[in-house]
Amino acid sequence: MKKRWPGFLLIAVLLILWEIASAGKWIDPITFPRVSVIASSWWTTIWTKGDLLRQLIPSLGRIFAGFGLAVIVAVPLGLLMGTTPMVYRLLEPITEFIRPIPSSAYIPVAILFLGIGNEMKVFVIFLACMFPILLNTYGGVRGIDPVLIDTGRTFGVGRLKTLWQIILPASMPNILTGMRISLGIALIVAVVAEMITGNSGIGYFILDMQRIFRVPEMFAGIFTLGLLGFFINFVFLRIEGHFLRWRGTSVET
Amino acid sequence: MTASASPATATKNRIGATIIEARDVGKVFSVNQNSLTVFDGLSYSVRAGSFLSIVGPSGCGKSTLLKLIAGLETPTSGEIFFEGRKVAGPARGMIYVFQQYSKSIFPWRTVIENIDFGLQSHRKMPRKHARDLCMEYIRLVGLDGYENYFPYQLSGGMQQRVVIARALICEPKVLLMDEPFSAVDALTRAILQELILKIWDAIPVTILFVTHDVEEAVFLSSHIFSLTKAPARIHQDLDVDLAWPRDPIRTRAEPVFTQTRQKLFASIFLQEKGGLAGKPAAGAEP
Repeated sequence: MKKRWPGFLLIAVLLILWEIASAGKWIDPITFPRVSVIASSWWTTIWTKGDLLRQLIPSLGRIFAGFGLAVIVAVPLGLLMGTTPMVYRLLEPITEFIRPIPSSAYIPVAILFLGIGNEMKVFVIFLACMFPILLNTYGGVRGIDPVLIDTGRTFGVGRLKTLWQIILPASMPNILTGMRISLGIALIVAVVAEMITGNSGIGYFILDMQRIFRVPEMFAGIFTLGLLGFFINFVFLRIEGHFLRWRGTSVET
Repeated sequence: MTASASPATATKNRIGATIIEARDVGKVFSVNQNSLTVFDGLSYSVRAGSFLSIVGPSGCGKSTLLKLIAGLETPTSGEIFFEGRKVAGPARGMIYVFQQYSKSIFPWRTVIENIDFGLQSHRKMPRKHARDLCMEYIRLVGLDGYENYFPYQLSGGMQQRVVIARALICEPKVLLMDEPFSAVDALTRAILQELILKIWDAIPVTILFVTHDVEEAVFLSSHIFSLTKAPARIHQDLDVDLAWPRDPIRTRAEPVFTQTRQKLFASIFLQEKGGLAGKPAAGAEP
């Protein structure tokens, strides 16, 4: 964690500049309220009144439900595609077709058959998270050195054990990369879906505050997203470092 | 696990009946439109307990010969028998040790976990007992104190020891080693050569050892096959008439050592050169 202070210092300097600029009316203080005002409304919304916190919890629920489902489906599917040419030939074209479609474009379709409730949002997040995990898992399996597979063969290890003890751990770095990309996407898609359907969640909160012109609260919501993304990534890097400690490039402690 | 009291006599008496037999083996590799005949009607037999080195010009199919025995490759024609049974796929009782040890070791497993992989693949036993047995093999290859290290923390020579221990814990009847020491430095190589001889002497295993290093072959082996260029035939099949146990300094000084090495080297060198020039070089054997 050393050597990171210049980055944090820059953030502090920018926030102070913002505060001064807003207080001195160099920028419109209604569109850009003072940082101290945003901070105090953040504290109120997240804690004292708690309305932001109440919207944050369903968002987190959706993100982890959709992401979790995607991991459960995409990892086995990716392993299967990587190891069985037949499955690969079957699924590769459809994957390549769906993959380039921006995940937010599924939302209107998903609303049609799932409505605007939780199911729809979880489904869209799930779908958006699927492809990075699937492609990375599959790519990881295909990238395994044949010597490693032959090593399993010479020890007479069966197919299932090879999958579990050789193929899965060998593609773990790629799987985790896919998972990390997906977590970022999950956050984006969740916010967009909540803004479109507008009934709950942090995305809804941000848009709602903008509409009723409570600008400090709107910024509070945006900064919360930033903190959330930072926190999720931090925790994930720790988990990744634990799983990949055998690579000798774990996160700094 | 301890060497017998008189290794010299033990080694002499250990060569037994035929354990591996190849009959008319052919192997053709096809890549796109091109096909390469590596073997065409190759027959040979290997006797149990021997230390057989296979030498030959580069690209002659030494590794393929081992992979065919291991059941990792399938012959295009002919048959290979291991203890009288036809080899069809990797056979129990034979373990292949890859040249690229760093690609064959499991990087996500520690030293002891790598060795335990070998054990678990062949025998089920209580955890405590398994650990003790793994430690025994760790000591055999001289890695005590490193059991909880990950491969990235080890040198090449140490990784190779792990791979060897992982194979040995399966108590194979045949160990197929593909240029196992070609990627380590000269001193490490000499130490690993001594180690493999110590192991071969201590346990009843047949070792097939592919190497491009004639000196290494003569020093280690009880028998040597020297192959021709592809399609490879066995050009020379010779017994190495050097005393056991081999000594890294004294053995190399013996006249028989020098003569055998010379003879093998000449045959391989001329093949290699003949191949490159398109015809035998001047002064080649008639």
